[in-house]
Amino acid sequence: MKSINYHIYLFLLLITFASCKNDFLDRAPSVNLTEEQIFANPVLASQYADNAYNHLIDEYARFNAHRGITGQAADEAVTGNGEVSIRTLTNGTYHDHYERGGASLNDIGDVWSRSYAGIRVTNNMLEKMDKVPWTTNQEPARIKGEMYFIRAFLYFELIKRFGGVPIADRVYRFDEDIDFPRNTYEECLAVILSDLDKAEPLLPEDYNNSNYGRATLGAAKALRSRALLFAASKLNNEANVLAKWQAAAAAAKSLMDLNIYSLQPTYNDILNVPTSPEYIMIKVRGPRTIDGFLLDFAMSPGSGGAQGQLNPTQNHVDLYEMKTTGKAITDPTSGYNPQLPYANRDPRLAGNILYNDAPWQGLKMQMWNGGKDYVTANVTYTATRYYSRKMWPEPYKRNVAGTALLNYVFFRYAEILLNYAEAQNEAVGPDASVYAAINQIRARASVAMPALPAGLTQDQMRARIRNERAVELAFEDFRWYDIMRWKAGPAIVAQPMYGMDVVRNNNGSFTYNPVLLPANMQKVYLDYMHRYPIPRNEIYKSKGILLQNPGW
Amino acid sequence: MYPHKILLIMKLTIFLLIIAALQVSAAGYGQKINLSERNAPLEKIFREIKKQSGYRFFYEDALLQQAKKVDINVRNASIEEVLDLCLSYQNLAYAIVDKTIAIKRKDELLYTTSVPAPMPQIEVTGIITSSDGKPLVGVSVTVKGQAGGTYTGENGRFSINVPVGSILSFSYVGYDVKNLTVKNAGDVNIVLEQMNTSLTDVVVIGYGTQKKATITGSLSTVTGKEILKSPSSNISNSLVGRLTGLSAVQRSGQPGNNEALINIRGSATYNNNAAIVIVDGVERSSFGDIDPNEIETITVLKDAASTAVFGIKGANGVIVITTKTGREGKPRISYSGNVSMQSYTGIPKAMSAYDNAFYINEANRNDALPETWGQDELQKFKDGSDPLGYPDINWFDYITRKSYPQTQHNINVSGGTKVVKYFASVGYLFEDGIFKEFESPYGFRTTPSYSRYNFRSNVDFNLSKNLQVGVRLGGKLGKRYQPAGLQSGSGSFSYDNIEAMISRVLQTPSFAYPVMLPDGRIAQNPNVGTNIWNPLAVITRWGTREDESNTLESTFNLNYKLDGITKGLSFKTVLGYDSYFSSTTRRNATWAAYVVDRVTKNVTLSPDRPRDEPLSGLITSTGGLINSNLQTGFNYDRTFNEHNVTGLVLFTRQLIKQPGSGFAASPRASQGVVMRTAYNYKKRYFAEFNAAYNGSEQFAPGNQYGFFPAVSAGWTLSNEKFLKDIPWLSNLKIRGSYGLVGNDKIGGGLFYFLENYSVITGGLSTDPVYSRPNTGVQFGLPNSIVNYQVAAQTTFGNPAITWESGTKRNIGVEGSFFKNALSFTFDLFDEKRVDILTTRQSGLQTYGQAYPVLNIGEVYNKGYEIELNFQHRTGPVNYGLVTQVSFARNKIISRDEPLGRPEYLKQEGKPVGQFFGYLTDGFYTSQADIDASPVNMLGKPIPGDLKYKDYDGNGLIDANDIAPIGYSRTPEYIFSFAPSVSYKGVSFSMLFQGVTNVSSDVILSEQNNGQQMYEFQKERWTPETAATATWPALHSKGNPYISYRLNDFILQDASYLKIRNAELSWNIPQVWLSKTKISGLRVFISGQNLHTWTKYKMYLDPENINLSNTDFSKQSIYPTARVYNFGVNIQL
Repeated sequence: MKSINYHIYLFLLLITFASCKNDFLDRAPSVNLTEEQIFANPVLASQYADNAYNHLIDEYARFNAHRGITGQAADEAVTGNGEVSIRTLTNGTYHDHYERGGASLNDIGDVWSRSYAGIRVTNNMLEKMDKVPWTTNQEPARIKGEMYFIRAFLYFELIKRFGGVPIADRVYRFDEDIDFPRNTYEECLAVILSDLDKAEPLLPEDYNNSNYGRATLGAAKALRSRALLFAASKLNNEANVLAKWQAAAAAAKSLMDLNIYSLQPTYNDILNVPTSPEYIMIKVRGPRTIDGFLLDFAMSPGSGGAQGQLNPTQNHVDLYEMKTTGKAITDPTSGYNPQLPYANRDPRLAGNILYNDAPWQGLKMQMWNGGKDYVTANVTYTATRYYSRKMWPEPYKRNVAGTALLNYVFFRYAEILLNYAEAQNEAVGPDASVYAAINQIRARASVAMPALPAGLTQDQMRARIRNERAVELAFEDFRWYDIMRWKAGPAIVAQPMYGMDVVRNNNGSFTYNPVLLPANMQKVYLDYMHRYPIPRNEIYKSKGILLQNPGW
Repeated sequence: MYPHKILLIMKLTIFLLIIAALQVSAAGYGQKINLSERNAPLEKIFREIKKQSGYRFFYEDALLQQAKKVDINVRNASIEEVLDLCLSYQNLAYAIVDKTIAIKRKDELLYTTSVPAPMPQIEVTGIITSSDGKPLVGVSVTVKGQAGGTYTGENGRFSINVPVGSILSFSYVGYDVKNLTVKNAGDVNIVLEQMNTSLTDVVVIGYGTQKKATITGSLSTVTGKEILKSPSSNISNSLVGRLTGLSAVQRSGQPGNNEALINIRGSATYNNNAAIVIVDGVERSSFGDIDPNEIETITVLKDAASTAVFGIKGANGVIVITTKTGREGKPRISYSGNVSMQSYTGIPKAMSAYDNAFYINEANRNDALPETWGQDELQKFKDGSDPLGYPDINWFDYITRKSYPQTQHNINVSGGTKVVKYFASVGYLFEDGIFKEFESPYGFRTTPSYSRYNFRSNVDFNLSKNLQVGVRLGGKLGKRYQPAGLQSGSGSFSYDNIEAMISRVLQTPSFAYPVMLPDGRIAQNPNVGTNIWNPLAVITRWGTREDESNTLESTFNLNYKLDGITKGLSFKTVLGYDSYFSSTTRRNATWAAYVVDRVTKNVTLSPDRPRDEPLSGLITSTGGLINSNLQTGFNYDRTFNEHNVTGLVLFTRQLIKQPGSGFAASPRASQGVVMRTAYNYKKRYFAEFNAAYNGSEQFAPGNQYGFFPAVSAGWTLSNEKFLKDIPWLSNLKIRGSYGLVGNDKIGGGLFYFLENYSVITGGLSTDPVYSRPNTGVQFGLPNSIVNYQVAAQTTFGNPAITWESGTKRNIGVEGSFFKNALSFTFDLFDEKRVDILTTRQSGLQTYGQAYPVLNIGEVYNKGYEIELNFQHRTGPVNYGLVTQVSFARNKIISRDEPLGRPEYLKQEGKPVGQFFGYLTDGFYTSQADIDASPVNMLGKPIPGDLKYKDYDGNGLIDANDIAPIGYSRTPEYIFSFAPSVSYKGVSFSMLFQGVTNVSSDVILSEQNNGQQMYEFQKERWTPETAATATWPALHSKGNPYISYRLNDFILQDASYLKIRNAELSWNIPQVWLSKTKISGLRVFISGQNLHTWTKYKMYLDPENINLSNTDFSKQSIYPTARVYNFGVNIQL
């Protein structure tokens, strides 16, 4: 009897403790891939490399998800509803620019971290490059070229905004002390140029249809042109060393001399075509449906949008010359009629701006109070009586299944011509090649503006080039950074911002009066704001080694 | 039947009776007996005597078996004569007491010579009720100094035969024992007083129960009866103010989604601070949806001693729920029904159209913008002469209703025998919602609602002397309904829930448009603002959402006594198996809306709602969980003289399977060993050791298990000789605990120890469209793009990841005085939580990818709890007052913040959830004041804007001037006082409850899409009202950025004091029911959230906040219900 009892007890003990399986807690799924596996497989390695592209800055309306472009910080436009990501740039509280987290690609904190993340990918790929058992299918040379190009591009995005930054020349371990000082602008530029030197021989001139959008030789040359132009500009070349301008001009010339690219005859659809002889490199993206960018940002509520917050300024509109005379409207001989302000203007005005009575989507824009596209003191409508035509392709209508392309263009040929003109004018003055470059743009078939008058001084030519650049590249993510490198913010941005008052008269005619925009749309630009502050938290993290830009 | 019963009682009480009986001098009783028997056994003689005289016999069977047979022949003899004849030559004596004859061996007489005079035996009957007049069934009635006794049956009735002068003792779980000296036969009515925190109570602890007197840890308990006082649909809302150390914040009032945010002793971590929930011994996901009628007790385990047994899961405290079991006795059927009317506790008071338009003009003027409304238009708003063009609609009033019903029914039956005890319950709840019932063209209901069916069946078997088995099944079917809009792809900005519906109502201004055109078409006007959709259309024409959840929780218990091995040892096993299933079904439609021109009355189609579309098909998603749980081990409980030893060793294992993909598909698992050993000497000195060695799947193999020990001790001073004789001191005890507990819910994700590379395909995002690192990348022609997958590191593991561990200390004093009339408990605690999983904040981003998470966070938490309980009775009046205060304050010690960050901007050194904002210094009084003040970089201020302090003193107002302001959303002080009074069957109780040291950042202002303003904004600053203004100057929309940046003016003090609960009940007197089958009937009226006193400005309940749709304004909340309830409780 006793022994039976003990058997029972033993059994109970057994089910108690024998069920303690050692691996009961090992529930983690087996790890998919290790780093070794990635670089031991040429396909995976090439996929690792492709991720580098994802770190480029590749959208215009990228602030606070889709609610701001850099042009609104500059003089191109204002934000109608006080969008925080713009407001922080226009009132000089740049430290707050990245205050809203989440899905955003803001211009200071996010660009900083995104660029270094991309640099890490390229560094890692380049370090492992030679260990991968490549087959020819993967085109390792091209991959290597892409890595150099992307790394150069990311460093450029950094120095464009912050000046010299720490150079991450290899992949760091997480427990390493990486509290490094900033390299100088020149040191960073040297890295960029050296990377481009390595990239150019490795990159093809073009790709087959399924690889269109990858870095090309032309893209590398275009980046070199842009990087050298920035390096030669006043912000980075206080002494105005002419050799820097010469180098910039030469870089642009080198690309022009490839004779691969040419201007597209039409201007109005410059962002809306799948391919173009003018495109050097674009972000490849399918046709867009009506998304947040259009609905909540670009489109007039009267035409189906929810919030029309991208509101070009009168300041910008005034930059467009008269079509017939080729003169600025401020010139009394230009032929400008303030009561017919949009008549006989540079055709690019109609390409870039939606103004009152402009034909649009089968109707006309109604910018007077009570018109479909404007309501007084209503922040969902334009604050300036303008919307941006360039950022609002015509096929989009609310609740109509329309899609259209709206490409982010990294480089197009017109920029190179403008780069050349600007650099050459600074290096040697307004020679014939400067005229040729500018006039080529003005002569675009659908623009057909008169050629620049002969005999301009270097200063006059500089002004015309800057104006041409503002008009031609409007809303394409150039103006703000141009103003920074020119150190022209106090003269251009910290000026009164105007909109237009449109009154519809009883007889159907309109009365136009430029009006000063309210206080919250006026902008602050102090003399230290030519560079962004290094993200403040990065400074806090550093033990005094990473130094902030002056003024911040 | 009667003799048997009496014999039974006799056997049990024989010794005393015999002693008593044999002292009786056998005087003649005058009964005449006729008998003629030969060789008859004594039993037969006795039977005959009983037949003729009615006298009963008491004896031991064995006694008569040994007796000789009898020859007798008598006529008209007295009983004494007969007995003398029968017994004289036997070794037997007799005694007659009150018609009872006791037979005893003669020689035992020797022992009884000094016993006092015996009393005659009488039948005592009566009814036992509780102080509120309710009959108590199953009360044990015993005779002092004897074994055995009886129980009250239905109606609380009992009957027992005892000698005069004996002492009857009435005892019932949860009630004070009452003694009664029997003086004469007949009815006595006994009222038992409910004990408060009686020391003989058994309380539920982790993995078992323990006598309250021997507890050395810190815990607090509330009974199901208390919970039933609150007519809330979710019992998590019934706990507030009733348990020290527990904070329950009712965030929302949405039917079926109003569970309180609960935490225990504040928070000692900035990660997951949720307590674990144990229902009937098994960890379960939640408890709010249990029918309150099923609940026996809810206990909150707070300190290390009481939570150490939960080891790696116990650090945030434990909520232990026990459901009811049956008691021995006939089936008792109980029905309770409640009918309630609900109303909202607060709704924003929107300005009328005229006021709103008037103030919008003022706001425009302030910002140098043209006025929106002309004088003629204002006049039309004012006189209502043009309701089509210039309407005035208070949309909240239009859409919501003032009262909406709730009903709750429960029927349960319980009872049992010695072998089986059962409790079975079925409950139904229906809670209706705040929106009116409008007619929807698509035929759906516009009122949100919740219905819930609960059932429970708890059966316990005593299969043998040693083996007990229990089966507990609890189920729930819940169905939550709401009118709802489209589910959005981009996360929280989704219209498929009630907060989103309310946000649409809240933002539509009173001047927007009429509800409908005269012909019934839906009016709308996109000019009013972004997404200002017609609220009527929103709730009648946008669609529905239905969330169903089915729960089945089963628990199997087995207890086997192993006294055969050693006395006091038993084997125990608990198996829990739960399945949860949930589904969400959506249907969506849309509507055509029409814009009516304010002036011309021309009607055009609204561009953002161009057409009607009927309800879509069902869009369904489902989810579920399977949770299995096993505990098995040994219990030990034995007393050696004055030494009492208990022990527990238990193996535990849990596996939670959930659907999902990737990491999320992995089951969650934990297992380990639990141990407890407790010792006390003379119930004066207590020592206890609790520990768990357990682990979780969250950590890398080799790092999975941790050991969590706790020691505790207690000293009951009142049991010491030197205090024993103080008459007013009933109990005084000091106790303390110290130990280590863990928390494995370290973050939102799983497997932080893993490092992984993945191949990622997706990546065609539409909004925002810019490329995301670690998603697919696109090349090819834009009209025929090719998506290239990328390979990337997707997790950045740290193999050394471990659990949070908390070192908890607790010191408690508890005492009671004046026979427990006054009692108190005081607990002082602190905790240092270390190894909190922390995302690196100090790592430079030039590293280029996410840093692995680290266990480097530290939080210190401390506080105290006081409970005072006073109960007194004078005559038929009972009154009492329970007062509780809980305080907890924490401080982040370390969160890996960048070293160079200025101290005042750091979270370190401040509580978890501390609000940060600008400090204000009144309003700018004039332009001169603005000019003389530090430059405001946030915008261009106007007089009447809030003036911020230049905290860092650099002459600029900018983001560096943000400093800690107010508190956090979790209150630091929670207090309550609950007076109660009862007179005979009528009782009245109230619960006042409040919190303080709490802030709310909910703000109502003109800065919503429709620029709807609120009544309090009339007190805004203007040059004329500068002296009395209580709100900053108004601004046009898009100009919010000075005054409405979070600051110490906008941040609201969310302290409050509420009449959380009140109940008046009446037990219908028993005599009225005596002719019915009803044994008890109680009717009551009660209320929840009856009144709130608060300084909080935003009209709403200060507890409410919208946390579910963070992209909508925080005030888009469903207000908490105020509940007026009528209820009835019937016992059969």
